Amino acid sequence: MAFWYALPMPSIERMPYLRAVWGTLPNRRRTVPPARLIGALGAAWHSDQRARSWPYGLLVLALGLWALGLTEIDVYRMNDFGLISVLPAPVLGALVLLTGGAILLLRADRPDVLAMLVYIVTLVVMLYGIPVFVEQVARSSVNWVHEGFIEYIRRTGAVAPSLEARFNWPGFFILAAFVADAAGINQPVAFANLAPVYFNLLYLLPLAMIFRAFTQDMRLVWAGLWLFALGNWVGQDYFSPQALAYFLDLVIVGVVLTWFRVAQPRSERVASWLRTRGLAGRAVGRLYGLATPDDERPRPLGAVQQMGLIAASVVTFAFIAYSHQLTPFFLTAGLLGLVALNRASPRGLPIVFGIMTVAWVSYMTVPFLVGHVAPLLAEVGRLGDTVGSNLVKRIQGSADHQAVVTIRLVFTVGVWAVAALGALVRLRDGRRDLSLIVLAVAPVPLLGLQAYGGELILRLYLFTLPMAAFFVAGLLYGRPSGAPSRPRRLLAGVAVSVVIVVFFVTRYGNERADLMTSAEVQAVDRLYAIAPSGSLLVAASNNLPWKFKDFEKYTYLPEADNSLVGQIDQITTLMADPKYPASYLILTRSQGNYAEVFLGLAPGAWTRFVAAVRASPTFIDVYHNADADIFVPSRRSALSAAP
Amino acid sequence: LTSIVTQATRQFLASMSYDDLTKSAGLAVVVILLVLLLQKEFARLHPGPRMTAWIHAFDLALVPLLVTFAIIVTARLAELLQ
Repeated sequence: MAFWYALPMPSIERMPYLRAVWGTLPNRRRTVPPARLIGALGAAWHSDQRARSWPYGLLVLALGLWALGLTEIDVYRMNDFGLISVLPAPVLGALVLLTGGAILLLRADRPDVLAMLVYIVTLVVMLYGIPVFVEQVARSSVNWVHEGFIEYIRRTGAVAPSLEARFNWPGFFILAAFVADAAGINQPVAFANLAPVYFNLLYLLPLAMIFRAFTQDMRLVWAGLWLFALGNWVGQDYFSPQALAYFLDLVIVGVVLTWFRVAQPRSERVASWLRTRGLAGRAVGRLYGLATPDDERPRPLGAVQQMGLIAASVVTFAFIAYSHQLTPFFLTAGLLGLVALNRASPRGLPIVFGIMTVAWVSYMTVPFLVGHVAPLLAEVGRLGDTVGSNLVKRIQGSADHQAVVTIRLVFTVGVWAVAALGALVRLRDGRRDLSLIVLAVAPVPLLGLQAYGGELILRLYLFTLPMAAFFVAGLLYGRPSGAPSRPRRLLAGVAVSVVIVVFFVTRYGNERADLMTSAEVQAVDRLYAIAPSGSLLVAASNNLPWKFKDFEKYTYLPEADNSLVGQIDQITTLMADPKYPASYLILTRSQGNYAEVFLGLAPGAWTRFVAAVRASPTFIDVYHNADADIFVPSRRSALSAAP
Repeated sequence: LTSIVTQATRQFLASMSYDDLTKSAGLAVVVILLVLLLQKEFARLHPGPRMTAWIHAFDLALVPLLVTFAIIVTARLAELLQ
């Protein structure tokens, strides 16, 4: 057994079993009886197994708590704070436990990859998978509208850009129709509640690439991923084009930062020229020096492989431009910033992306642009209006909902502020992550171009979140001082626990309105069964699971975010329009919830409104279930006899 | 300056609306522009005097194409605004 002692210490240090055995030996220069050595090896093996298995034990405990908590959730008892109002303590406890386990795992210089991977996948499932288990059907009316687009493509084999603006960017819907056909899925919307889970899991892959481009410290990478999952409250990861486009955006950014970053972006010619231009030149030169810090060398890659990556990025971008209207602008702005400061080598890429975006918009979205160009151009430069529609107008609805919106705003600003602090701390530590800062700041001027229906700040938050998560995590990990001290880890654990609670308020704050029920879906199915083609379908608002089939065959009212709640006379007038062969009014539970949450309708007012419609001689109730009613105008009651 | 544009060209231009023109000639410009930009990007991956010459040649072609592209997009937007 003498060879045993010849093993170099570093090798032993890397092997926990051997290290343990090494420690048990009384004299490392003396021969040890084989039986004793085998015994020591066995004991070490068991001890190491324990050391390796505790994270999984904790994980099982957290999962058990979470599952137990889910059984207690009654989504029908939610108030206007959303899911948090019915979320049992074990669910939150499970997440706190999981976070505690992750913090303990991150004590090691090289955290256990498998354990961290399992932990972060579990975190995503626990955060984003709850609706899968507690809601009957796909949440949010938008999912059902997207199902309608896919159904149209599968039925007709075409898109209808003049019927629906979103069909001018049909890539996602065509892909979803193809996948549904190939997989034999009848209604893809049945899987819509899973979308946030799989999209957030997908996001982790390019995010890890991006973070790895800026640090060798895997603790910082894992912590950044953890914070991204906890900070992604904006809910753009549902069954939608933007969710897929965001993933592809991250992939392209990851490719550029990993293989195409410029290690020495400073031009000595420019720097020396500035030095000769007097005081002002030297001041500009100093700024130039700050703006062009050296970067890590990119991973080495052959020219052919680089060509392949550029070509793949262009093809990927083509799909983004074909699928979503906003993502190309964010991605192009970010890359333009990197190229402008010479931090990425493919200088032509943002120009190619810009031309592709503009070409698609000017050639392929003409049905949308007709009638919209002037209003779109009118928004350019009206920053005040954009901020107003993105902030002030969102704070409306019930008092609870206003509180939710306020918490979202405070949380968003808080994340940005802490991230800025993290960037400064890393700067002080000598790490100039300018590329990440550029990527975070470059899309900000887009605020001056569009209000995007009051959603641009939300999208800005989403596109800056990867960088923000990295910088916030950088406050704790990736510091020159090494691993954080125990009090710091404890403080981080407490802070993350608070963020977990805030996450459920911000992410699921609209859940009462987003909740759709199977009874509502049955009612809409019934509506499509009895309404002849060309009918007018009226609801109090658009917040119900409709438009999921034959959407081009009917006229739907109200349009967009308008509301007809309480307006019986107006509904009567609209439904009396003789140009429609038949008119139907559908009132559902989710419309009532929407009116209370977003329009501030007083509790009980919806029930009174439905009762008034039922009692009105103008309408006949032709279908009724626990969550929905379908009415026809009384003089057209004959239509109700249709099968 | 208009004298150097042939009568046939003027008639051709006059016979088509902006929409037709930008659809036919414009799409060709977009495709050529994208191909040249990518070629230039690929050429930059092979440093050397020969590739530098190619890059300069691409630049010569790219500038007028970019200007044409800008004019085409402006014309299309102007037509949509009308």
